[in-house]
Amino acid sequence: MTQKMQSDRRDFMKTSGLLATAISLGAAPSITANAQDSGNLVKVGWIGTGGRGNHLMRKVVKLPNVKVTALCDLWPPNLEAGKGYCANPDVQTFQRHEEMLEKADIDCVVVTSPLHWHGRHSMAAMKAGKNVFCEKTMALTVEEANEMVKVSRETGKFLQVGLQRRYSPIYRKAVHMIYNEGLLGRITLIRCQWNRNYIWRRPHIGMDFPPGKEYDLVRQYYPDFEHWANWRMYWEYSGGLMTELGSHQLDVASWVLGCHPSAVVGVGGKDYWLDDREVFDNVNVIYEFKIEPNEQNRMAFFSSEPPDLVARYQGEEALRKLKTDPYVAKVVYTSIGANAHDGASEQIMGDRGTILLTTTKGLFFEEAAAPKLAWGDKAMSKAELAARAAAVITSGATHDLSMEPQEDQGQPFARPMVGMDFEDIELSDFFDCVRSGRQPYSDVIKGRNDAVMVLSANTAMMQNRRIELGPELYI
Amino acid sequence: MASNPAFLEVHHRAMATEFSLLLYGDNKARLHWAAELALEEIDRLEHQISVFDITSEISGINARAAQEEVIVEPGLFHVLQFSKQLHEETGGAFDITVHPLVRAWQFFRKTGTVPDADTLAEALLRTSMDHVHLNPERRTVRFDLRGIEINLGGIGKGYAVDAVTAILRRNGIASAFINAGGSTFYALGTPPEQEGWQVGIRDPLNPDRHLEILHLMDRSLSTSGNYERFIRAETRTYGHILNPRSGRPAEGVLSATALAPTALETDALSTAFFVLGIEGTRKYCCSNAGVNAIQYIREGSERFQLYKIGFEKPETGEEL
Ligand SMILES: NC(=O)c1ccc[n+]([C@@H]2O[C@H](COP(=O)([O-])OP(=O)(O)OC[C@H]3O[C@@H](n4cnc5c(N)ncnc54)[C@H](O)[C@@H]3O)[C@@H](O)[C@H]2O)c1
Repeated sequence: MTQKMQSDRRDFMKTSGLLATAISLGAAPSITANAQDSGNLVKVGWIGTGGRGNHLMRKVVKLPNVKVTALCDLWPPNLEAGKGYCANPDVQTFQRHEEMLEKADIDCVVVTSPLHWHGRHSMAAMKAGKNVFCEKTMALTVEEANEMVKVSRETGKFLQVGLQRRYSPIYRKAVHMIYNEGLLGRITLIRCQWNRNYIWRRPHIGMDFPPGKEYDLVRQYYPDFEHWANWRMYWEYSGGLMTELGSHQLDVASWVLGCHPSAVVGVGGKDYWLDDREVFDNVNVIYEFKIEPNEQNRMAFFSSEPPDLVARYQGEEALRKLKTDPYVAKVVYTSIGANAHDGASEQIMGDRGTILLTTTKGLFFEEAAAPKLAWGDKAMSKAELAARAAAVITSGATHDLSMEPQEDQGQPFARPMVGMDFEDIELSDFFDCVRSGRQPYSDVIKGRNDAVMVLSANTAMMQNRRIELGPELYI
Repeated sequence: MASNPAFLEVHHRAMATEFSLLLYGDNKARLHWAAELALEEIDRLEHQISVFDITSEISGINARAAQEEVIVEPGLFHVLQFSKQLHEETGGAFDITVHPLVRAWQFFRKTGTVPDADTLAEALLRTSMDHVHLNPERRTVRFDLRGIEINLGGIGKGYAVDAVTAILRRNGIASAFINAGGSTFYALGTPPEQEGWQVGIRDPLNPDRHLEILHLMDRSLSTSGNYERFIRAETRTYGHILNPRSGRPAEGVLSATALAPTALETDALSTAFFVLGIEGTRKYCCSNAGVNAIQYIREGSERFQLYKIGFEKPETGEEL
């Protein structure tokens, strides 16, 4: 590493406690949040007022010049709940999205229905001339995702996909540091997981649809209460852990690596929650990302200079290859339902350091200098080894270990914005895009490629084989 | 309700306290369903009002409201409006901007001395709901002074209990007891075949004894008292509840209980009544139908009196 870079990095560490404001990275437009006088009133039609819908709605009602004017949900109690949260006593309510799109006075549509509806709801909205925010995962099949891209192009309406880490000041700062400061050097592995000790279903055994005409529509679409309430458990409606959780983190991996995976293998199982769910409760997948040198990534990934001795041992040819040849980085993803120890995080590992990302904090660990070869100078003492590692656990000793994984290691960086979390920012930016006609950062293409990634992992696990993901698969 | 009703008890840590819910119904599944939704709501509200989370809505308000009008989510706006109203009605005895004072006392607790006059005067300058302006049309909040901060420690549990109650009701639960930290309760309906949910108010001087046992139905109760939390400084102890007007710990009342239709009211009122003492409490109850109070007061060094205000029976001072 050059001297220059090292001192930049130290400067960065010194100022890292400061508030991170919006960072523009490469093609990413700067994301402005918080603007109080943000122009024209935007009227929103909302499809799906369940858990997520009502959660996001309570964020939207804090935004200036945004009004929720129509709600749609086929489940009457959730429609009622939405009415309570939307801060508009005159809101119009509908059970059928077709009717809402036809009759309501709206400028744009937010889709927070279950995954198997995303495609139908978003496409109908775009065809009705509305820009759309749709929750992740964008679609249940790649074909459907492609159709959504097509409809977006044909109608000229945009589709923002709810990959909110793209809007997190922490994640944006991390990506910026990796590319603009070469903080991690060559990344060879990203290890991410979302582990919980949690049944992941809504408890209700024995409940059924209430009688009454107002429940006719839900009866038409779902065979029983269980399938409506626990749509995440069935392949017909959801892609399980990969689409519900993995979609966020694999999007981060492909963002960090700046490309798409070229192959995936995986092993999944229903190992612990032995109820009648279909989806896996234990998914483990590995992706290969073939990284070609280009203008954006040359400094970050193709400028490593291993210590002299290693270089001499490997030879000039190996050194040259390190700077010019494509290489394959691996992304390992796990999500399980019977152990929460690791929680949710992404660990990005380069030859100069590691960044550990969570939604509330990012930590950076510098790599110790490359070790001397065994037959070089004296071997390191125990104390020297201990000083090198971020945390050392020796048997018998007591340690103050935190409940939060990795809490006791590394330096935190990049605080989020005061009073706004990444979801507030994602929504505020969506309405800015609606007003200005600007394309959203987390757009239909990113959403679509993310869907390809997670859906192909499900295929790999179900068919128990390696899936090649050729470049022709991506847009 | 079926002769053998289903019952569910759940506990959840949030807002630096423990919430527990007792639910009755004829279908266990429905109880689970409703309880799950209720606990999710508590977490959401914690994220909204926590001052320790810099991305929370409250942190945003505290950071920005001195510079610009900040739009507030309707549920939280209602809390601010009620807090403002109560501040006026109690002559400033309840004040959600009291945190600079709390901090001054907390700091001096560490050093073992009482904060000096300058420190208190400085903190008092930044304590008053009068600096907080609400605009209901635009649903905004604005501070007219830098350094004002809102802290919902004295009302947040009530906010959460009411939200939980609404969710339980909406999901068909007719009999439940919601308990936030053993000090703020809501009794929804009654337990099967009983006239109400039984709540005992502990005697602060004798933890094995109850000052009063009540049966509640569709009603909230909160108690404030110097049970375990007090500040030890120099040669004496001070209660942890501060009088926002004087900047000093409130004295005289040992335990103040408020009863009202909502937990938002009782959570805040129990603190207000503690600060107001018996006369102020009586005045408030007289002009607010549906609110009553129970106070345990120190009158002289060894004399304690129990007052029940606003109950059907005429008020009596009971010596205990
Ligand atoms: N980005 C995130 O972090 C995040 C978090 C949670 C959920 N989500 C996503 O949000 C979406 C909704 O999840 P949820 O947890 O709110 O589920 P949910 O089951 O609580 O709510 C879904 C709602 O959609 C309604 N619905 C179903 N079909 C409908 C139709 N045809 N028309 C109108 N309404 C219909 C249901 O009645 C229900 O009220 C999912 O796509 C999920 O992946 C994203």
